[in-house]
Amino acid sequence: MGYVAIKGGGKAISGAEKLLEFVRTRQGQSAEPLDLDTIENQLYFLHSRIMSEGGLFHPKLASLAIKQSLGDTLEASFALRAYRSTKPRLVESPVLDTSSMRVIRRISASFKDIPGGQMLGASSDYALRLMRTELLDESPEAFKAVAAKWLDENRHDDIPDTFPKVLDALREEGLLPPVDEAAAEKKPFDITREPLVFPVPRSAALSTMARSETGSILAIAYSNMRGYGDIHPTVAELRVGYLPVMLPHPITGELIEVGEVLMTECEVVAMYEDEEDGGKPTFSLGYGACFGHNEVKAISMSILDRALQSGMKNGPTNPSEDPEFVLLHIDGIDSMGFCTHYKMPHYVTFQSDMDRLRTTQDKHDDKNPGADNA
Amino acid sequence: MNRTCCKIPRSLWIRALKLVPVDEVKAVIDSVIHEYDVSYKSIPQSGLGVLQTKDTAMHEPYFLGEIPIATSWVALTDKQGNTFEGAAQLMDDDENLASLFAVCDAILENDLMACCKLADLVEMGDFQFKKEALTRKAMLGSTAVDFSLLGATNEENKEDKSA
Repeated sequence: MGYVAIKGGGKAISGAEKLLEFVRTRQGQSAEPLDLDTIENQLYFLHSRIMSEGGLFHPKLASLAIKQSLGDTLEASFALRAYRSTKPRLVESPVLDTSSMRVIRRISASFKDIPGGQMLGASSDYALRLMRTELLDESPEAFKAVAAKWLDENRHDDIPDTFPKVLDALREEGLLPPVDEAAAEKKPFDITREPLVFPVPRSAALSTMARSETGSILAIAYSNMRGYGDIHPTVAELRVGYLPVMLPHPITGELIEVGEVLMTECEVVAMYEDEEDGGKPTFSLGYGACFGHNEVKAISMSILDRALQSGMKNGPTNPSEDPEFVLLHIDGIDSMGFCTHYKMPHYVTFQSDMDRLRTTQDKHDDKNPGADNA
Repeated sequence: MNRTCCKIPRSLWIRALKLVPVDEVKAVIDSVIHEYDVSYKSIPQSGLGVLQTKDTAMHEPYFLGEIPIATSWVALTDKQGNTFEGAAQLMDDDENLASLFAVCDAILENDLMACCKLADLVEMGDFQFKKEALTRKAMLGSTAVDFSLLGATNEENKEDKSA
């Protein structure tokens, strides 16, 4: 089935764009346009999600994308992804060590006591999901006073800048598989340069999942959690923080800090496996990470990483272990594009469908004369 | 190079300068730039960098995503014919800003005119960074949690004994 271009409709298309702009601004004279800093701060989680799904850590443009798309997450990520496709690749960072992350939240479901301690950070994990009606009519003064009061009341200078990883302690105890030194030397697969032709290496899966759509990756991970899989994960550590981005100075080659990215990182410990070569059994592991503060996505990714490792090694036994099924169905821009194309004109192809149906119906009538009257 | 103006290491200059109002940096550079002939060692560019990290479970490298990058490399030649180079890379998509910071890099690294004023700005930016670091520490310190296992507290143990 082919696609046939249409023509005409230019005036209506232009009118539709103007109407969308009217909808964005129709709140009227009393309203203020959203400024980009407000979006970044007050729509913090939405903003995080757009950067991670767009695959580009650009706080200012992520805010702009949210603003121009009227909060449509898929359209906003699409705009950010489209922007990145117009820019040249200038540098590839050296391998950055996320243990240097400047942490703002750090928890473990495996141990109540972890080296450096657990810190809940900003979280609604233990909050009641009740409507906060006091925010219905929040005054600017009250709004500003909250942050000022919090800063006045909270000073903790004795907290370290970085924290050890929970997994390191488990590995020292011999409960985890040793680090695969050969894998550590591998050149990562670049999903922005090469198409996914299966089988793909684990680095391709990690990159694809890192910029996946949150709901999509959650849905497939959830299928594994509910029973179409047997990962049974325990979160060894979930952390949120700022990773310093280090690049070589153009003249000296010395690593300099060019900025930092907010990211979420999760490691899960899963069921142990007997080693095929007769080695000591150890827990298996899964890893998830993404730009911004998005814990559901990082946890889902870590579960699917574990599931995909299993599928790559032993062959998939359920959808969440199948790399092709998972990796080709979690990108928001891909899936949204395919979905929304169905609302574009398909007049010629549908005409063809109708012609074929009528021909088939005529043949049916010829074979079954008088059947319609029965 | 024996730097005297700026005590903060070169590796942190960009981080600090990014936290200073850019107009203040421009004002300092504008006051001295006429003393030099500025040329580019490479064309200033803006584009993307790809972030390579390693997963902390298996230690395998992968690409987390991309960041905006602006880069510039300049040479300042004074009236005596001496040439001083500076360069900058930063997470931004403004190559003009990268060029401004590259000039700062040359001035700070070579103790050129206005280096002390620039060093003050670097210190101001570094102060801002440390202030933000304290806020982050407060986020952690104010939410440090000490979970206890059920039945492990003295009170619960007493209840168990009396039962």
